[in-house]
Amino acid sequence: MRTALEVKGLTRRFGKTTAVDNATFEVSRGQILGFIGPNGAGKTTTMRICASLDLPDQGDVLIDGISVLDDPRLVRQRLGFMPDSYGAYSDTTIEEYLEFFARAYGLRGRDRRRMIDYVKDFTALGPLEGKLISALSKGMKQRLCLAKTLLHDPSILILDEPASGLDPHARVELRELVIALADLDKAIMISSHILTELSQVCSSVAVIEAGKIRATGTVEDILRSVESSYVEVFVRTLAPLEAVQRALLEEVGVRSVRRHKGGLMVELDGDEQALAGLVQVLVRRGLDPIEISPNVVDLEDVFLSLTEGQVQ
Amino acid sequence: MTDLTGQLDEAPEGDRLDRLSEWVNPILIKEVRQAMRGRYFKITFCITLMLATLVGLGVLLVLIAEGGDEVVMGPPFFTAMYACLTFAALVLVPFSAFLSMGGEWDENTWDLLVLSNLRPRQIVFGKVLSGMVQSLLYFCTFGPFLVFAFLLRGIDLTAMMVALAVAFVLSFLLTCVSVAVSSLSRGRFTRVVLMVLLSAILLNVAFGFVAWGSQLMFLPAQLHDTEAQLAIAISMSIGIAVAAFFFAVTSARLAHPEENRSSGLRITALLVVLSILAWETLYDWRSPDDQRILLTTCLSFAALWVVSVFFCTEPERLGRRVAVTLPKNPLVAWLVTPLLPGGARGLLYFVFGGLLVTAWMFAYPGLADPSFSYSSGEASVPFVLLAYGVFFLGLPSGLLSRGSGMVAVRVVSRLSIFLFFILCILIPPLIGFLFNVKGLEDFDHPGNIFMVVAGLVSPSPHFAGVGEYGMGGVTLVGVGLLLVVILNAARIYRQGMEMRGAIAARSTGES
Repeated sequence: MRTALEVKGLTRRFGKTTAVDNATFEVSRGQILGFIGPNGAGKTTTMRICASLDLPDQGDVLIDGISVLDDPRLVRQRLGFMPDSYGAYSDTTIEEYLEFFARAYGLRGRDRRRMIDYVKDFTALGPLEGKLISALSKGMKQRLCLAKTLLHDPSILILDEPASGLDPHARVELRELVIALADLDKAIMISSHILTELSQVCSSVAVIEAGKIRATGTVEDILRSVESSYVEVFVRTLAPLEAVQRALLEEVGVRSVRRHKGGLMVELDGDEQALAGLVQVLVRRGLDPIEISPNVVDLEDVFLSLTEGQVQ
Repeated sequence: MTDLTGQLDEAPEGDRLDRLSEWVNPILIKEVRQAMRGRYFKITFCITLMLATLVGLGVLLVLIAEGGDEVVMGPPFFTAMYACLTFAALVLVPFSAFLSMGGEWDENTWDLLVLSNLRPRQIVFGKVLSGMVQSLLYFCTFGPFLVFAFLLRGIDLTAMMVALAVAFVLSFLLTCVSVAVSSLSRGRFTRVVLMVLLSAILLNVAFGFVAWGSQLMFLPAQLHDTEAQLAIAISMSIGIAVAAFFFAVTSARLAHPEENRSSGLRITALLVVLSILAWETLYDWRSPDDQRILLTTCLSFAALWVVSVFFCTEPERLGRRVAVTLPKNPLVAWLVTPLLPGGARGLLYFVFGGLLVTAWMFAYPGLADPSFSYSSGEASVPFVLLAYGVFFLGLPSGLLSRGSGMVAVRVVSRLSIFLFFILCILIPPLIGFLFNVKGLEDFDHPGNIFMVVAGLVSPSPHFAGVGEYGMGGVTLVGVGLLLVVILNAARIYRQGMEMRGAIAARSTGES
């Protein structure tokens, strides 16, 4: 896969605060990179630099090999950025809003008409034609901003918290749109607080905290790196919980046992082999297990294990 | 690039008007649409029209009551309508432009505009043009009232046209100023303060202008005087030049920090100065007047000096985005150095501009009238202004040049230049007064540029020129300039090396 966005040793300081500290990662065509981190971690600063709206103190960002520092205008032709707090003009209809930005992007005549129709269809805004933006719901405004971002057919999309404030239905729709865009061979960098959403669309992630990139790679690689240390299992038995807790704590490889929702949450050293051993122990000791469900490690776990909630 | 819709067509279709609209500034279209749909324009437009109708009727009733057919009704009725129109064009329209520019930050749309690849000057131009469209709409709406005023008799058509043309140009200037003021801050509190200040300025200008318009209506004969005609023409052209300068200021303020925010401003400021010189040349072509030429020279130097305060305190670095836009020809690149961003280059800009003014001062009267000559004192004025200008600019800015990358240091540096200028005038007499030093009791000393120039151009023995202060005065100026050179040598060298590197990189890139 061809690298579309390359962040190289990016550092940005605001006075004494280092908002982004030597960040390095890349996104390829057709890839969706989840950019995750707590509030104040440096996500928006990084994204704004990638979008040529801010300048780094050190490092560079290459968009299709072009530096955002050397040629921001060329970069902007290839890049679509959806900021977290996007603007919408009052007293303007959807059609007028899209037409204005299409003109601003330099689209003319039939090309402009065709592109506006296309993005309206793509984001399902067609039925709302003629409506004032001020009358749109948050989800619809989000779609409108995405439609605007797609007007000049960018090859790289940077979406800053696109799902924030959306209801579950709108989130599912947005997720489908993002996946459809990646299928069009676009490189997508997306940040969100809703990690379950990201885990369903991202092919890779970059975790940032206190301006530093804590981990970067494909979702599988990162999950594997976290999974390898321990397994968490929820256990319910017919036997009394105290007896089960005592029995499990005597076993080798059991890190901890705590009560959890009418059962026990057991932390085991090792991988799935250790889980098989636990099942054997429960049966051998006659503790009558009725539910053994391993806690699947997801992005949220990855995020919690890699970060400490630090902000600058 | 990823293609969403397949191959896009090259040629736009549609009729001629559609094709023409393709080239219209997108901001203009958006702004006009928004204005027509927005409450601000609808309400102010209706109120202005109602007010004009009521005022017009009131004036007519009063005039009829005063004497009916015997009273010349044209001028008073026109003045009343002109006041309403002026209020709309000089207050409401610029204020609307101020709100529109601020709205881009309030509505979080600024980043979207920047990303759409519109250049700051396109954005500002669109805003100003939109203001002009609104202004034009007011002029057209007031057309029937003005025609009615003309039909009431007693109105000079030329005076009426001049009054309207000047009002339109002033509306343009004030719209540019309002957009520039709006771009000064993105903070809401500061913008509220700016809004109040701007309102006060706009109202004052409008009142003053109505007084001028009314005087013109009642005394139209003054327009037949050539001097008055030329004064109006000069005022209008300077108004346009100043509007262009404010336009350049706004565009520079809105540009990315790493973009070239200085060259446009430097060129515009130079053009404003050149337009002043051009008008003086035109005005006095047949018989050059030394006093007027010297006044123009001093004004030009003052204008250059004020803008150079900002240029010579800019961050020293050329910047990557500027470096890649340098002319590829090394000779041209070196020649345009004073127009490029950077503090030391700002100092060079003042010298460059000053030399241009000096060249004009000697070349123009020589060409117009070969017998013309200056006295030795008069001839030394531009050189004295140049030396003093460099001294006042170079000393504080050279001292603080190391920190010019920081906004706070730049502000301190700019303030310190003005402060230094004032202190140079005030300190000697203060010392003279406190310590009873003979010869320093008054303001006639080498630190006071006003007295120095007055001494050079005035034959009166009351003033002493810089030469009149004896060797002490000349030595003082010499030492000052030497200090400037010492303080600025490092940054001039660094900027020279940076230019050399950038020019070499451009040449290599070309080959």
